[in-house]
Amino acid sequence: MLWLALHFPLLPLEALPLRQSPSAVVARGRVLVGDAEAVAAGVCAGQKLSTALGLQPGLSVFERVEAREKQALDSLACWAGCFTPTISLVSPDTLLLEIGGCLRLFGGVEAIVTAVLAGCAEQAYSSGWAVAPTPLGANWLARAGAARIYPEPAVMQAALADLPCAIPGWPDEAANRLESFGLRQLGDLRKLPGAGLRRRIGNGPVDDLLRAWGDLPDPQKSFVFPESFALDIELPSRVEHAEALVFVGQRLFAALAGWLHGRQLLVRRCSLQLTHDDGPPTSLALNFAEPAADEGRFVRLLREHLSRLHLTAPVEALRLQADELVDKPGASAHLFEQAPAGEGTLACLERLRARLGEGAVQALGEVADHRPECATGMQEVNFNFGRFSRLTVKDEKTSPQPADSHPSRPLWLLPTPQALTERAGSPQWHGPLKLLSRAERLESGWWDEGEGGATGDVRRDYFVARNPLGQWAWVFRNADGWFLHGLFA
Amino acid sequence: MFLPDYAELHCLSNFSFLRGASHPAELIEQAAAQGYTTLALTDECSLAGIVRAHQAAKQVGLKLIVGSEMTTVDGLKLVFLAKNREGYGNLSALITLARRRAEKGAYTLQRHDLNVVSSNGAVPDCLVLWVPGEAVSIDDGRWLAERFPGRAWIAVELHAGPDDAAKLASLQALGEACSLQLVAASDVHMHVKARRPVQDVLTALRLKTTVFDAGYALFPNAERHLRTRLRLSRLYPPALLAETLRIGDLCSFSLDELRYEYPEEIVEAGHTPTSWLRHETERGLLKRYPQGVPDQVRKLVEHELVLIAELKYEAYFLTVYDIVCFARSVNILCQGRGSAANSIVCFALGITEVSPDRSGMLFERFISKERGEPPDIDVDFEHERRPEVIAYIYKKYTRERTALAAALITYRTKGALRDAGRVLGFETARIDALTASLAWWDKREQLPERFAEQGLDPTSPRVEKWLWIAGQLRGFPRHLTQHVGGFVMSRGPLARLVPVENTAMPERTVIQWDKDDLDAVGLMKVDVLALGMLSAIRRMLSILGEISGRPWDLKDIPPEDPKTYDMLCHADSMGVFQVESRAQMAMLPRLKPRCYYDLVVEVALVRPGPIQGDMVHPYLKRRQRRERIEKISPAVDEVLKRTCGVPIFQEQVMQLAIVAANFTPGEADQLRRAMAAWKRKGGLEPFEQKLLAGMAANQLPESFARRIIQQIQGFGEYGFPESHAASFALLVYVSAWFKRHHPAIFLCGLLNSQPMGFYSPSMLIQDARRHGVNVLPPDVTASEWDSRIDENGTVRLGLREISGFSKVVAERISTVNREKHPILNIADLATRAGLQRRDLDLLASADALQSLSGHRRQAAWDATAAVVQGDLFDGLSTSEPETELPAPSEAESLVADYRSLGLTLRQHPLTLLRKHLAERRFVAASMLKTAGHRALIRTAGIVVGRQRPGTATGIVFVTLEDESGLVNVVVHPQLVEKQRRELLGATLLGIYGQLQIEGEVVHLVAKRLVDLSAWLGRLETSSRDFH
Repeated sequence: MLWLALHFPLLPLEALPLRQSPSAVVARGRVLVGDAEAVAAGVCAGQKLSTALGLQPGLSVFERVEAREKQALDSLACWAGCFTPTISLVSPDTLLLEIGGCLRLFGGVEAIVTAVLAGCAEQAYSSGWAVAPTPLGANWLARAGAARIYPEPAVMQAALADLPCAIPGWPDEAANRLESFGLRQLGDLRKLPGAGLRRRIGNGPVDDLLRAWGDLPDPQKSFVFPESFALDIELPSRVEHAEALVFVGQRLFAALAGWLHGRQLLVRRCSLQLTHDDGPPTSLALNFAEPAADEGRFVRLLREHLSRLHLTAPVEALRLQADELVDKPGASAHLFEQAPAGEGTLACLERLRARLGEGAVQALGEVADHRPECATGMQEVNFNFGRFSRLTVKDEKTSPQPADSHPSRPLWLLPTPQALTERAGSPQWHGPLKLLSRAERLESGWWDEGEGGATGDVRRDYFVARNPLGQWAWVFRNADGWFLHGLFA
Repeated sequence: MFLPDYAELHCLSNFSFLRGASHPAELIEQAAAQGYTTLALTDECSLAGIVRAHQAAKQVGLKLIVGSEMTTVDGLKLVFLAKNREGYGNLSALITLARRRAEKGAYTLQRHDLNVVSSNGAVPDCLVLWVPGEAVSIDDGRWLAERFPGRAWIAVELHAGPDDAAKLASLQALGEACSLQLVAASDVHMHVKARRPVQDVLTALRLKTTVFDAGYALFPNAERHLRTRLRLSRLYPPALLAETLRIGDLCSFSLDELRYEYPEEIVEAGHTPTSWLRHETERGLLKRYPQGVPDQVRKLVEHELVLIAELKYEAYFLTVYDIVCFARSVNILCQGRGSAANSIVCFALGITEVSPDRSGMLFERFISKERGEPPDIDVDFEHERRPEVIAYIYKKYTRERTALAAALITYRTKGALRDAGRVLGFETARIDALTASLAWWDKREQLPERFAEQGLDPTSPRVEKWLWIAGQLRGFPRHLTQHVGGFVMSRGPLARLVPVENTAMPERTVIQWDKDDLDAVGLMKVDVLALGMLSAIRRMLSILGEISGRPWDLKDIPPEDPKTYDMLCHADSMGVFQVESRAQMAMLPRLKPRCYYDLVVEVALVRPGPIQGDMVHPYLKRRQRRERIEKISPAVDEVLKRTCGVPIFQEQVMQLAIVAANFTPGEADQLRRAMAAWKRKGGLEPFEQKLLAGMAANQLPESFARRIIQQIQGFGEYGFPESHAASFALLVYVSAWFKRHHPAIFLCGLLNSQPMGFYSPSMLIQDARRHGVNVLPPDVTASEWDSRIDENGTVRLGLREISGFSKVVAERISTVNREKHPILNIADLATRAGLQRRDLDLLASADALQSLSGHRRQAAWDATAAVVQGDLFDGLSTSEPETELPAPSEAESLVADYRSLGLTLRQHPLTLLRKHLAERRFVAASMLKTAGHRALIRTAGIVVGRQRPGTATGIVFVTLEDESGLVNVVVHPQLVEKQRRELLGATLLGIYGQLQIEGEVVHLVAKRLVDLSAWLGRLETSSRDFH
C-alpha cells in the first residue's frame, strides 16, 4: 500500500470560490484562516476579528460554515475518483488516496502526484501533500507540508521522527503535558518507554504513533461515491460576467468527471443551473452526442456555452446535475434499472426531476406572511446531494399559525391585483361592488420594499364585496385606489 | 365634527423589553397631541419606565395612570391600574411577587396570587382590565368578577382584523354572561404608525428569528399606535369610549404621593435621629481631638449639624455611619467620598480620614441648603470584601427592606447595528466586521467604502433599512441590571414603594428604578463601592503591623513626608493609586506635588475633562510662575485662588456660575447635569447665553467669559469633583508612602490584591527589583497562597501567581509545610496534601517542585507517576524505569516561566538578546536619559502596553520594557497607519526614533517600527492593552 495524503489548509476559505481579496473566514469571532493578502497584513489564525480588522481594515470576512467545507471535501473526493477508487476522508480537511494499486496505470508515483497536484491547482485549492506507506504517516507528513515521496518505511519513519509534536493535533491535555516534559518531536516520544508514556498522555496518542510508524494496522473507511450527481456551489459575492463562472464550473466538472470514473459511468446529458437573487434561474443544458467522462471535454463545452450566454442578473449559486447517464462499456454498475426496493418514491421523484428538469418537481407550501400574495408559494423539493435518505420540503418559516385561520381569504388570488374604477364612492367590477365586511387592515412587508421582484410594503384595507351579478370578490383600497385581489368560490 | 374624549388604558413602552417600540416620553407627548385625557402606562410586569413617563406627563400636563400588564401562567392576560397610593403599593408588591420567583428578566404569575385577601377582593385598590384571547371562557370572566367585585372590565381591543364586528359581538355576549362591563383599549405598542418596522424588528429579536421568518408572529398592521380619536370613533361604539373616561376618573394616584422614610434602627432607643447624630459626632470628635476640639472645628460642626437637621438628613448620615462601623468592626478598610463625605461630621464619624488639618479649604463646599441636592456619600470598600458588607446590609435591613438600585442598559450604536442586522438576515461575521470600528457611523461619507469592503451596497434598500432601524433602536432600553453598588433601604417593605426583581446573581435583588429615577422621586441611596487599592492598602498595613509588632491604621501613616513627595516628583509611581498611568507619570514631574492638596489637584487634572478644556497648560504655567495669575474680580478670584485661577474641579464651575454669572444654586445644579449630557444630547446653548449675559452684567471681561465657556464644554461629563479627588488623594499618599519606605510590603500588598491597577504582576515585580527588593520564585515547600515577606525582608512569591492554581489546594500545602515532618518527595507531598494530577502538573510547570524533584521537566515527568490514581490500580506501586529528561535551556525556562506565571525572576529576556541588539545599535532604556533632547536613537523592548487615549486623536502610546527599565514611545497617526502590522502584532518591538526630554519626562517619538518578535522565539509575553 502507498498513500498519498492531500491536506487542504485553506479549505474553509477556498471552499468559497471567486471571493475578493483580502479575505478571511471567522468562527465565533476569531479568525480561522486568512488568504495570502490577509496573512501578509498580519492576520493569523486564532486572532480576534477586531484585531484582524485593525490590521487590515478592508478585510472581507465570512462566517465559517462547516457544511460548506464538508461539501467541498466531498466534491474533491469525487474528483479524486479519476485517480483511484480507494479514497478516504479525514475530517475536516484531508484526503487519503491509496495509489499503490494504480501506479502502473499512471506510470509511477511521480506521475500520479504531478497529475493530482495539477488538478488541485486547476481547481484553485492550495494543498500540502506527502506519499508514504502508512495512511497516518502520509497524513502527518502532508500536514507538516513535506511535499515529498517516502516510498520506504525507514525513510518515512526518519521523517516522522523530526515532526513537531503539534502536528498530530492531539487533545490539549496530552499536548500540554508533552510540552511540560520538554518533548518537542515525535522522535523524542518514540525513545521513551511506551508504558510510562501511556500512563502520562493516554492510549490514543501512543497508538497513533504505532499506526503512523506501521507497527499497528490502520484500516481506512473508504469514501462511497453517491448514487446520483448533483452539486451546488454558493458564490460569496455575486458574479456578473459569465466568463468568470468558467472557473467555478471547472470545480463542478472536475468532481463530475471523478464521480463518473468512480462509478464507471458516462454522462450523456447534464445541466448547469445558475441561480439569481431575483428572477427565475438560468439553466444550461449540456448534451453530449457521445457519452463522455472527460473533464477537459466538459470544460470546453462549458466555455462555449458561457461565452454565448448573456447574464440578465448576477449569479448567486451554481448547480451541476448529471441528468442522463449510461454505463461505461464493460462496467457493471447501474443507477436506475436496479433501484433498490423501498426507495420507490424517491427514485421516482429523482427520475422525474432528472427527466423533467430542475424545478419541475415542486410541492405546494404555506408561507407565514401577512401579505396575501406572499402567503403561499411553490417550493422546490429538496434533495440533498449524497444523502439519499430523506425527502424534505423547504419550510424555513415554521412560526406560529395566524391568529385565526383567515375565514375571509378567497380560494383564488389574482396573480397581481387588478385596479378597479370608482364611481359614486363605490369600486366597480361588473357593476358597483357592495362592501359586505368591515375593513381588515394589512400593513406589512417593509423589509423587502424596493428590492427587485419583491412585493414590498403593503398598506391596504381589505373588504369582502359583491357585485350585481352575485359574484363575491375580495377587494382592497390603498393610497392608489381600489383593487380586486381575489375571488370567492 | 364631534370627537369623543378618550383615555388609553393599555399601553406598553419600550420598557416592556422587545415589545414596546416607543419611549415613555414619546407616548406621553403623542397622547397629549392626540387630545387624550389620560394615558395609562402598563408595561409588562414592570414599573421601570413609570418615572420617566411621570416626568413627561407633568411637563405636558397629561394625566398618567400607573399600571401594569401581566399574564398568568395559564394565559389569562390582565391589565392592572392603580387607583390610589394603596393600590399602587399592592400592584408594586404583586409585580415583586411575580418577579422574585422567576429568573432575571422573567416573571411568573399564578392564578392563586389573585386570591381574595380582604373583604375588598384581590389586589385591593387596583382596577383590572381583562384582555380575552382567542378562546374566551365564561368561567374566566366569572372568576375575575368574583375576585375584583366592581373593579373588573373586559378590554375590547379592535385592530381592524379580519372580522372586528364578530369580535365585538362575541365580547359583548361574554360581558353579559359574566356581568362585566366593556371598555375600549388599544394595546398600544408604539406612539406613531411609523414605528411599525421597529416593532417588527423587536418581535423578531424576541423570538430570535429574522423578520422574514417571523411570519404571523408579527402584527398584521400598525393599528397598535396611539390612534386619532376620529379613527377610534369609527371603530368603537361610543359607550365603550366613554367608559375609558370613567375608569380614568377612578384612578387618582400620582407618583408625587410617594414618601420615602429612612430605616428606624439606625437610631439608639431614647434618641431622635438628631440627638443621636450629635451624640456620635461628639464621641468621634473626642477621639479625633484628644487635646480638645479647636474652635474653628467646633464652629463648623455646629454649622453642619444645624444644616443637617434642617434638611432632615440625619438618618442618611447615620445609615452610612452604621455601615462604616460594621466594616471597621470586621477590619474592612473603607473610605467615604463625595460632597457630604468631606464634612467635619463625616470626619468625626470616621467615614473619611481626610482631616481638616490637611486642607482647611474643603469643608466650605459642604452641601448647601439652597441647592437642595441630596447628600452624596459614596463609600469605597476593599474590593474583595465588599460582599461581606453587602451581606451585612441585607441581613440588617432584610430583603424586604433593601435592594440595589437598577442600572438601565440601553442600546448603543454597536448593539443596535448588530441586532438590527441580525434580524434583517445579515451574516454575523459581516456585521461584526462592520461594527468593529464605528468611525463610519458618525462620518457617513466613509460609509460606502466600509460597506463595499464587506461586499455590501450601501445604497441597497436593505442596507438603508438596516441603518435606519439601528438609528431608531439606539437608546432603547434593553434590560435592567444592578447598579455598581447603590443600595436603597426603607422603613417599611420596599416592594410597596417600587417593584423588586432578581438579578443574574442569586443573592442580589434590584429595584426597577435607576439612579435618575430615584433622584426624581426623592429616594436616597447609599453607594457601597469596591476599590482594589483599599484591599492592597489593608494588606500593606497588616504586614507592616506584623513586622513592627503593633497595629497600623490609615491615620498612623506619617503625613506630608518629604521623601514620599520627592519620589512622586520623579514620576516613580508604578503601582501607586491613581497616579500610575502614563499620563499621570508625565504630569508628576511637571506639577511637582509637595503637599496633600497638590495630590488632590493631580488626581483631578489628568482627566479627559481638564485636558479637553485646555486647563492643564495654563494651570502648570501659573503654578511654575511662568505666567501671571490674572485678577478678575474678588468673588471669582476667591473661587479660583486655590487652583491658580484655572477652574479644575466641577464644584468650581458651579460656583463660578453663581458668583460670576448670577446663577441660582438650583440653576448651577442644572448646569452640572447639562454638562454631563451635552456631548450626547447637546442643550448647553441656553446656559452659554445666560453665562455670557450674567458675566457681562457683572462687568467681567468677555474674553474671560469665552474661556470659561470653552472650558465648561471641554469639561463635559468628565469634570471631576474636588470632593472625590480629596478622598482619592489620601490613598495616593498612603500607597506612595509604602512604595517609598516599604517597597517589599508595597509589592506584596499589590500582588496579593490582583487583579487591579494598570500593571501586570511581572511589571510590578521588575519595578520592585529595580528598587532593590529581593524576590524569590514560588516553591512548594516555602510558598503560601499569598506572597509574603520572610525574616530577611525578601519577598517569596505565592502560589497564587501560578496560573490556574487553586487557593484551597495551596492552603492544604501550607498545612503540610507546617507539620513536623518535612516533605520527602513528590509522592509524599501528593499524598499528604491530597493533590490531584492537575495540581501537580501546574506546580511542575511553574517550576515550584524544584526543591523536591529538580528541573521542571523532570518534575512534570515524576509528578505524573506520583499521583494517587483513585482507580482500580490504587495502591499498586508503579515500578517504572528511571527516565532522565534533558534540562531546559535558559531561554526555554524563560518561556515556561512566562507561560505558567506570566513573569520570570531569571534574567530578563532582553538580557539574552542584548548582544544581538547591540550589534544592531539598539540601546537599553537606561541609556535614553543621557542621550539628550532631540537625539536620534534606536531602542527595543517587550511591548507591555499599548494605549490609544480618546483625548489624543489617533496617537498610540506604547510602553516597552527591557532589562533596565521602561521606555515610553509615542506613535503618531501617520506611522500608525503605515506600520499597523508592527504596531499591533509585535511582542518585541524595535523603535527608530527621536527623543523628547522635558525635565524628568522622556518620550521617544517613533519614526520607524521594526518587528523583532522572531528573536524571542516562542517567548510569550502579554501586553496589557488599554483602550
